[in-house]
Formats: sequence, C-alpha cells, structure tokens
Amino acid sequence: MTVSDDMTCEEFTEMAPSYALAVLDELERAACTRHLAQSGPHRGCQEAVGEARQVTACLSAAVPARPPSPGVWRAIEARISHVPAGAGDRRRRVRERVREIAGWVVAAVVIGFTLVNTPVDGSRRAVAMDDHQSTARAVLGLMTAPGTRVVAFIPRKIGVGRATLIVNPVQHRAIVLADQIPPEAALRLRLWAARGPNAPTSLAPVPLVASDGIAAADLGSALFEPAPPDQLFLSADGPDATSPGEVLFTVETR
Amino acid sequence: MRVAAGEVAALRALYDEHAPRALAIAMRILRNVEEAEDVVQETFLEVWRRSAQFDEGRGGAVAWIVTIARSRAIDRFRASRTAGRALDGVVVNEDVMRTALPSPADRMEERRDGARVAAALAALPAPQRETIELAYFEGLSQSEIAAKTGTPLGTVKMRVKLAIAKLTGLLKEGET
Repeated sequence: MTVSDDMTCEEFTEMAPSYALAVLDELERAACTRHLAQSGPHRGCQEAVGEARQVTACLSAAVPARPPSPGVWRAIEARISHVPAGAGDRRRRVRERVREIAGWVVAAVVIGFTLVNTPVDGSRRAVAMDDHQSTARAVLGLMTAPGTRVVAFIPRKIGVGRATLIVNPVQHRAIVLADQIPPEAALRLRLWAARGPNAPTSLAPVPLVASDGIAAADLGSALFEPAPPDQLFLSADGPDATSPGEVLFTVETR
Repeated sequence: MRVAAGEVAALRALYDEHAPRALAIAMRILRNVEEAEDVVQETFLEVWRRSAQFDEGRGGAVAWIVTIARSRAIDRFRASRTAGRALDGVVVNEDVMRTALPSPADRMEERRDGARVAAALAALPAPQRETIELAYFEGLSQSEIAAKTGTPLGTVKMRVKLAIAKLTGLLKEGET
C-alpha cells in the first residue's frame, strides 16, 4: 500500500488499525496524521481510529498491571504545578519558540549585532562572529534532524527568562538556548549535569550570542558522556565556579 | 473532562485507575522499571497538558492513556536501539515492592480482563498472533516484523488488519 499526500478517507480507514497499533513506518504514519488533522468532511476516519485504539488498549490487559512507585505521582504533582491543565501541545509551542529563538540567533549574527560584554578588537570580534555563526548553524541543523526533541527548562525564579534544551538521542547531540536572561546573570550562565548521587559537574558555559539576553551553547556529545544525566541546571556562576551558583533553571532528563 | 478544568484530584483519579496498566505496557516494551516509570510520568503530564484535546469518540480515557504510554515507550525503545545502546535488564525497584498491592476485587477484574484478552489472542491464527505480539508488546514496526520473520511486508500489513478486525469482534463478544 502506498501513501500519497492526498490520502482518501478510504485509504485512511484501511490503515487505521496499523496507525492505532503504531506499527506504520515514519512516512505512512506522518501521512495518516496529516490526513486526520485535515478539516473534514471525513468519512469514518476518527471512528476507525477510535475503535482500533479501544482494541489495542484492551491488549494491555494481557500484561499484569503493576502500580508505579509512590515517587512517580509525587514527581507528576511537582511538575504540573508549573503547567496549567489543557495548556495545549507544549512540544509544539516550545518548537515554535525555539524557531523564534533560532531566528534571533541567526539574525543577530547576520546583521553583526553579535555582542560580547566588552569592546573587542577586530580579530577578536571576527573570532566571536565565527563562534556564533557556528552556533546558529548548529541550532538550525539540529532542529531539522530526525528524532530531535525539545525540552523546556523549569525556571526556579520569576523573571529569569526562558531556557530550552534541543537534544537528539540518536545523534548524541544537544544544544542549550536561553533568552530574556537578566543582564547580571547572562554573563555568568553555565550548564551543570547531575548524575545519580554524585556532585553536579560543569558541562559548559552558555555564552551570550546577542545583546538582548540570548545565550546558546553547542554541547556536542558532552550531554551523553559518560552517560546521560538525571538532571541539568543552568546557574549564574563566578568565572571559576566548581559548583553551581544561583540556580536559575532545572530540567529532569531521565 | 474534569482534568481540563485543572482539577488535580481528577488527574489523580485517572492516575490511580490507569497508571498500573500504563506502567505494565511500558515495562513490557522497555524491560526497565525506571524507564517505564519515566514513561508513566511523561504520559500523565501529557494528559494534563492536552486534556482539552481529549476526544471521547477516539476510544475513551483508558485507550487514550494507554496509547500515549505505549507511544512514549516505543519512542524511547527505538531511540535507544537506534543509538546502539544496550537496554538494561529488568531492574527490581524497591519502591515498587513496597507499593500497596491491588485489592482482591481489583485483581479479580484484572484477571478477568487479562483472561478475556488472552483468549482472544489465542483465537487468532498463529501468524496473526505472532504479528500482533511483535507489534504491540515488542514495539516493532511492520517493516521490522517483516524483516524479523522473513515475511513479505504486504503480508504483515494484511495480518495486522485481519488480526485487529478479528480481535475487535472477539473482544466485543466477550463484553456481552
């Protein structure tokens, strides 16, 4: 069975069981999702998926149910206190936000608005421009790679701005973006990783790439070495910090 | 849905009812209790965020929650497999051991559901049953099932379609 962009409702209902079972390959699944998202009129598409989902959900009864540990609900409760119910598809909104940030990163580089905190001579400015152009390219490259996920950091205080982790577990690549960071913190931003009971370790400084509090760091594969962390912190540190200073953002990564 | 109105108690009620099943299916796919519990957490956060989009017509709350949990588990499974990382073995989590066990009535109902589904699966022709088991419980795609079983892709697709149609009939019969 082939999938075309103009999938009909008959073709969709034919594939609905496989769609509900999540066994379609990427292209087929994307075509089905597009078809389902189209405004109607549909002929039995929602119903076909609904019925197939009920059946596939029943299959889970074949596996003995087991209650999660108490910590799972506590973690959920802690996290929903930051997110209003029905807030929509956060991932989509974060992606939109990241595209906006990525656009700013590129714009800042292109128009030469790249800013470092102190006046610099011509050669140092050229080096800074190269670094920031490379960050902008890395952001755009990673954003368009298959399997990339976007995770929002949770701010620990009001008015510290926003921060986002763009991560691709397949490529073992990650980039951190932050914006609207207050000036006094923006120059000292650093990413830390916590793994198990060990003390947090510094992953990278997150330097400013534009004048209005946009900071970014291409982590390469550092996030995954030696193992993915349990938690990340963004903090405002002194130049030689050996432990996180004022923690501005956190995110659970496992 | 009361969850959409921001009622944490409503989310808790959904969690109490469906989290054990979400965990079971995530465990079956990931074979790691910590990862499976992460999936349960992600699932209920997604339920909270997307509660306004919940559509009863698409299969009810249990179908929605199990579908999310299974999709997240499959995403993790495929990402870790693609990255070439070996999955950990099953880890016994002491917290789980300490958790209160379901009541005898709940267990009885679970067993009834489980027995009904097991009977429906057993009624499928062996190749269809194998296909569904590889798809649903192992998280393999149709192409992967075709490669693993040495079966043409078209045959696998047909088996999925026929198996779901037959299960629909069998499970509906079982309800009456």
